[in-house]
Amino acid sequence: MERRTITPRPDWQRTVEEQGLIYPLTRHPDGSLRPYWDESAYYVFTLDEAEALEETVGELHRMCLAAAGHIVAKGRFADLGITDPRVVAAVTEAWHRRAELPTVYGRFDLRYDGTGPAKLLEYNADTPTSLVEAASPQWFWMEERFPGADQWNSLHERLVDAWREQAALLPPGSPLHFAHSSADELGEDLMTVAYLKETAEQAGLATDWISMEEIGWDTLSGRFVDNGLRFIRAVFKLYPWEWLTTDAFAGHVLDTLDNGGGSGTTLWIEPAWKMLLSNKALLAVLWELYPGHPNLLPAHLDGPRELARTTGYVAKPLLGREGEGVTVHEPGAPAAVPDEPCCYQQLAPLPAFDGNHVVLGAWTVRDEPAGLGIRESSGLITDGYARFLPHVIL
Amino acid sequence: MANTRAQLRSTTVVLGGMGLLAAALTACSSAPDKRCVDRDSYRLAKGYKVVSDKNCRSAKVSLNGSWYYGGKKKGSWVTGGSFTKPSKGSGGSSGGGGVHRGGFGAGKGGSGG
Repeated sequence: MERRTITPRPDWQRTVEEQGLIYPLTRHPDGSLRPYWDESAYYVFTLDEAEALEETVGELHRMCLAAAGHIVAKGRFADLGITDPRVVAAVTEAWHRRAELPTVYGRFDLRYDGTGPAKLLEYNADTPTSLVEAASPQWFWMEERFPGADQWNSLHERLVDAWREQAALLPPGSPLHFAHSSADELGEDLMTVAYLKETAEQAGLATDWISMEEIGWDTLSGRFVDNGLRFIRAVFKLYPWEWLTTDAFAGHVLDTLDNGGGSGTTLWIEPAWKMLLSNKALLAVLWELYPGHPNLLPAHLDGPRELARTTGYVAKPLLGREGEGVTVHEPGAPAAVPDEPCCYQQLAPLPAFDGNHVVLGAWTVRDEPAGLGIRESSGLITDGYARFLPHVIL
Repeated sequence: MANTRAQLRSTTVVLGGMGLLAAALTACSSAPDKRCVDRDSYRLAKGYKVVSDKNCRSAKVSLNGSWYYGGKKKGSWVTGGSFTKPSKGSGGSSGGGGVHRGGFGAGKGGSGG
């Protein structure tokens, strides 16, 4: 694993915008605009490294499924902050009927520096973003700069296959709606959904748009409806389940939930059991089930325990996204009590390449490893100011 | 001999209509039916305040800018449109007397992570 600098393509901004990355610049707090898509450098992996990472991701995904099964079997929902009995019932049923519920994708965040084993930082398996840049501009960048080279990136093909292979699980005779939240002003959520919609169309599915805010509840039929008053039978939502189950329409979601085999009237993708994977408590459950596993960091739910004085720790709110609410505690620092339930994970500072802290986003599609996207940040927490850099296997 | 090792990459990536959408969303001059507005500026009588396109085109600006489609512009205010890009087959929400909307997403930011 190596970071190499390179002169960006002259017209890179227009190029990546045409390839779906319509937010290539990030506005920083000081008012400056800096590239989010950063092709002034790239990462090089050997084939051996990429294949080892692929194997690790496959194993981590299997371990996460085992942990999810453990949470359901042992009724550990309270550890995840899930206390509403109706939500517990919905997640439990979704887990048991998961073969009947389409799933699409997820993103592991890994700490990796090319020397030791990759360490799992978290799994975003409900509403992952940074998909578009990984699947599209990164691939085209390689085609242009390293024609004929390889890249750990079969996202596009696997996404199309995922829709095609699961088409039979979708309710017949109705388009698959794709919903983003219009509250996202970056266009990132919209383009993520647009890209997934495109892959579904390439798999031969009939699709349509809606925003979460526009989804209607028809009181007469007791069904969710789109802008044309058609029933929404199946919908991919880039919208977290913890909001779906707490919003004003939460009761309607649960009342009408098609949790497999036409058990209700609206099928939501990703399915409800993905709540188990995207919750940070998963990290502690994994450590319980696989203590000392080379790809895991010690993690606890009841407090930092020994990590407070040995390695230091990171407190991650159970439901945080984009680094929100994450706090870093060096060893021996005074005890801090967070104001929301957290998972306490060993501090494993992100490795720095040329002064940039690097996190690997390793993608899964359905149950298979599918590709890699790299983000760099100035600090130890990968937040909304991170930059995306392409990679290539040489 | 050809290199027969398995590739980790997609053989091809086809963007189809997504490229057109991206082009539309990043067009240099905003289309006549699309304006960048400050989401936090809503006034009952006037609607939303129109702001510079850069507030919608770039990430993480301090102002809560969003594209607003359609509607009527009066001075620097626009009203009667929608925050969702209109698409074929999706009309307005009128005509459904018993249909409630807005039960998802009130007051939240981006959903991804």
